[in-house]
Amino acid sequence: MNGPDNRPVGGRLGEVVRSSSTEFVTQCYELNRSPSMGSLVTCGEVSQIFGVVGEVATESLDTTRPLVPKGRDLDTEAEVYSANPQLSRLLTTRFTSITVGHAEAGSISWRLAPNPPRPLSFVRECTDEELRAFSASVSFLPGLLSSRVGSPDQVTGAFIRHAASAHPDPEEFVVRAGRELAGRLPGQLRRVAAIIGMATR
Amino acid sequence: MPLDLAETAAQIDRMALSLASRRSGRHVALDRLISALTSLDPVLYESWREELSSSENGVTVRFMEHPASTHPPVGLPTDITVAAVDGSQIAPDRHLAARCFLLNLGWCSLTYGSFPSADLASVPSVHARDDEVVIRDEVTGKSERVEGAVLAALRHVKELEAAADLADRSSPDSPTVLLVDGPLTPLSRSQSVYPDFVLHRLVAEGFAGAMDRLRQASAGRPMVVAGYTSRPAYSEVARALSSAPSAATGSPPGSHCGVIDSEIFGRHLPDGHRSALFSTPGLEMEPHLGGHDPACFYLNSGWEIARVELPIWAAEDSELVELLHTALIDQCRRGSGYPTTLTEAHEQAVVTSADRCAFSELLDAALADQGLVGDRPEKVLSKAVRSL
Repeated sequence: MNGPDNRPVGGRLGEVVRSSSTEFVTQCYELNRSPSMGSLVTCGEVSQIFGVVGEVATESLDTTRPLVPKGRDLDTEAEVYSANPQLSRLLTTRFTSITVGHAEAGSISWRLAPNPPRPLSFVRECTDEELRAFSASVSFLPGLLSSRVGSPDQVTGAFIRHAASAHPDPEEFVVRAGRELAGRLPGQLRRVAAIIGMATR
Repeated sequence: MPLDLAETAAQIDRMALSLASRRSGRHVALDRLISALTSLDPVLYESWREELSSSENGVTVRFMEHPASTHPPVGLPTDITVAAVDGSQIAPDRHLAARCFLLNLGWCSLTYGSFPSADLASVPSVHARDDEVVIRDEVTGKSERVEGAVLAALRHVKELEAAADLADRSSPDSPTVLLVDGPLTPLSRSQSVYPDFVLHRLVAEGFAGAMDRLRQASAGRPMVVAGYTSRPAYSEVARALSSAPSAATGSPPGSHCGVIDSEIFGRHLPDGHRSALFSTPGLEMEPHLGGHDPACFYLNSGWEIARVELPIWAAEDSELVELLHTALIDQCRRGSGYPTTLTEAHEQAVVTSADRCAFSELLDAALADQGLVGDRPEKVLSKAVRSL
């Protein structure tokens, strides 16, 4: 169902097409309309599950039909799409979110949910208010670093940057996140510094 | 035991040798037929054709333009919609738990220009009723099972009906080209030996009914429907040129030595050009076609010689012929040799071997739910569980 401007209702980005206890994959409704890496997304109507976007991929829906270049004689990338309108229906954008917590009746837990998201759960990006509430604790950050999705250090840095922007004192949030990481990654100060560096640049 | 590849290879070698020995004869015949085409006198040819048409075996090509003429594509409209329909099937199989078949129709409609858009989808339909799996003559009680060529013809009719649905949904402001894969008519000339009641159901009711809708939808607007055959193996023009009297062709009649039309037009047509329009009046199924007899032209897409069939009423409108010709050249360019919309319609329609297995399992499960489990034939079981 679409809204009056033909956009999915409720800010929905897509639906869960594969899920496990630790991560879930969302297929976007619109090509190239994924949240950016490090964004906090949520899904589920009864039990709300939170995930941090770790990897985004745009590819052929049919894995046996790889995409081949089409724009050799065209001037702009936009022309490639307008000259091949079928691409919007044959390509898909999917993103993988690392599960970082869940909420029952408004109470947030910063650990894995008892059950993964149901297939075809609606996925949307969290509001600033939800992002602020979820990042009140940063105890889940080491979990992001141990994920096998995407580039964990960059994902963590990107998440800290996103979350900081939702807090009234972003610097204080970054410092708090840095302390959490330093405490959980003893002897890896350079790595922690690099992650914080990515969060502040 | 596996296939005896050594013996097979030896037989293939002998076949290749035999083909090579006939090559020179074909080259001579091809040169002669091209010469006949270029020097064909249209007036003398037509008078011979008319005379022939009154005889028993009088079916031959009627040229609607100068036979040797070639036509370049014109400019493509800025805004244009090109749509295609294709279908695939799971045929009735006596090893299945029930007598039924599945048709899967896929379509692709692409709009280019100011507001590019795409519509791609497929719709399956399972046919199991008595009047779906058998065509029956109410008068004589005779019947014909819907399988093989009859099923293929029925599928073709369904494709044309889906094309008519697309036509109804398309914007009347945009020039529109509708394509189906293969010939326009559902049965080829050699297949029109079916009994009259079969031809009536498939051609008079099915084909002509769908074509009536398409003709109505295209009235007063630039819309044309056509069948596109890649690598066509027809030899109608070759046979006509080789049989025509020497007064018309400048060379004595002779065998066409297996030369096919696409070989002639492969040498005759420049890249992007189409041949003269022609039709083949007098086919057995003609009385059933309802005035939608096909006209044809060959097209040098730049990659291959394709055969294009369109209804005769569209072929008489030069603007529609130009629209079709130009759109096909553009589609072949976009699709690296084959119309993009037909490729995508095929991709929508295709039924994979995994789909076939799933269909069989669904059928078994649904019948079991109703307490209708039949015995699995021993042959199927023996193939499913191979053992020593």
